[in-house]
Amino acid sequence: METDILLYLTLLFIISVFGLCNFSRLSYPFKILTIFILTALISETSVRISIIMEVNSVVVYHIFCLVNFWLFTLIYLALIPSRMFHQLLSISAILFTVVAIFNSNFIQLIWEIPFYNIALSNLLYVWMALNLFIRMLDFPTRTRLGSQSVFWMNVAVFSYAVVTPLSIGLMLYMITNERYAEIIMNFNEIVTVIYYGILGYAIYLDRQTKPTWII
Amino acid sequence: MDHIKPDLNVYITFLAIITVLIGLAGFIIYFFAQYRKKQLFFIINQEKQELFFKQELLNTRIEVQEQTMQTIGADLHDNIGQLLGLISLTLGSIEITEPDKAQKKIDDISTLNSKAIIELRALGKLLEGRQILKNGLVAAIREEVDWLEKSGKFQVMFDAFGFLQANEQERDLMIFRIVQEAFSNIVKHASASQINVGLTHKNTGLEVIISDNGKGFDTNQEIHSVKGIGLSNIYKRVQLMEGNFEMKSSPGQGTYLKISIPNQHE
Repeated sequence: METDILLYLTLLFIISVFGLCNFSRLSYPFKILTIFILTALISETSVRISIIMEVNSVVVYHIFCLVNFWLFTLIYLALIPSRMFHQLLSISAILFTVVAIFNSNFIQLIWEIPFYNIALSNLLYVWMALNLFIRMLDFPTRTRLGSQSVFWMNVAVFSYAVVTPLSIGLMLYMITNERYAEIIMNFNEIVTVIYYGILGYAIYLDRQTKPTWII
Repeated sequence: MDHIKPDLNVYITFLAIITVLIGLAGFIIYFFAQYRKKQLFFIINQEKQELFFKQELLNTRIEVQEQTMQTIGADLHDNIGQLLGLISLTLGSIEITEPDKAQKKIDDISTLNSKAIIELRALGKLLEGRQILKNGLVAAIREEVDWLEKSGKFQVMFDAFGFLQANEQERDLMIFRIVQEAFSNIVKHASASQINVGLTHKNTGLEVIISDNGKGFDTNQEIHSVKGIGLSNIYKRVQLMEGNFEMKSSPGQGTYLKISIPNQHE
């Protein structure tokens, strides 16, 4: 296994262990975020094992994308206590599930990477994150923004959701044209590591401070 | 030409990624600035509210003191003053030439004197008890209920539940003043004979229910009258403590007042 992959898995492992050790001290959304990191660790590890065993691992992404989406749906439902948002997000989550299952069964089958599912879920993450940014502006607290776990989590989700579809598209193009593919793969890895790093930092912050509007 | 075309596409795509990253950074910086602005506005507002709360608390303290002074003044004039006047009158009427009658009058003076001492002690206790609810909210309200009953005009039922834990003194003072204001309204305007007072401490907060069997009033019409001023004071204080205020009354049906105050720091 390559060193960068090992480092990446180690980072996920450390964040998962940290989150689980402090599980009782975390607020509800960050408990789910810890579960998300744990599922990321499990799925990434199983992908690497599949690659070593030379087995097609893409099916993991099909499952992970859907599980991911539901975990983030629960996180944002807890963070934004607005009835309209709850209704819209619930409908979106159900529609996404139907579309994702349909895509995995009829369009991008389980041995293909589910780009449509990833793109659609990222679009919805951007919408959720923007809603939370608006909510934060409507209900500011005395706590410095840089010390707010919710802010860092949302920044990570928003940035990753904006960059991921672009970087995947670029990677596909590069692979097709056999040019600079490695650079883009490295870029993708760096973005992913930063993403999980920020999520880990958010979990670390949440251990100490909890946003005031969370019940 | 074949070599140039893909490179150009690559450059364009890289440029797109860089643009997106710069856009993201710009958005986050913009959000930071907007949040800071809103946060400052929020902090200023909160401080204003805290200042207002402190001012109102000070007003409440002054009102409680004034009310105490009024009670003491009235009691000195109506009760102790009368007793001392009677003692003085009896003393003046003693004739030493008639020892039997003089002895009876001296006995009467002694009884009156004892009564005056008891009244004075009760007044002293009242003064002591009001020192910022020294013995807690329930004791302070019970004291108030005792004074009402002592007047002989009202039968008061008082129940308190769940007061095992330590209470919050600032909130208690406000609640005490609300109860005083409600009692004052009943004494002045209700013509009631029966008053029920219920005080319940729950996990979520405190609930005060005061009802009477008085003449009641039309809540729509009398809200701007003298009685309305008292009610608006109660309402203002309840709002300040982020509580709920519920009042039911109609002519001939008595009045029902329910106040719910949430616990602080929840």
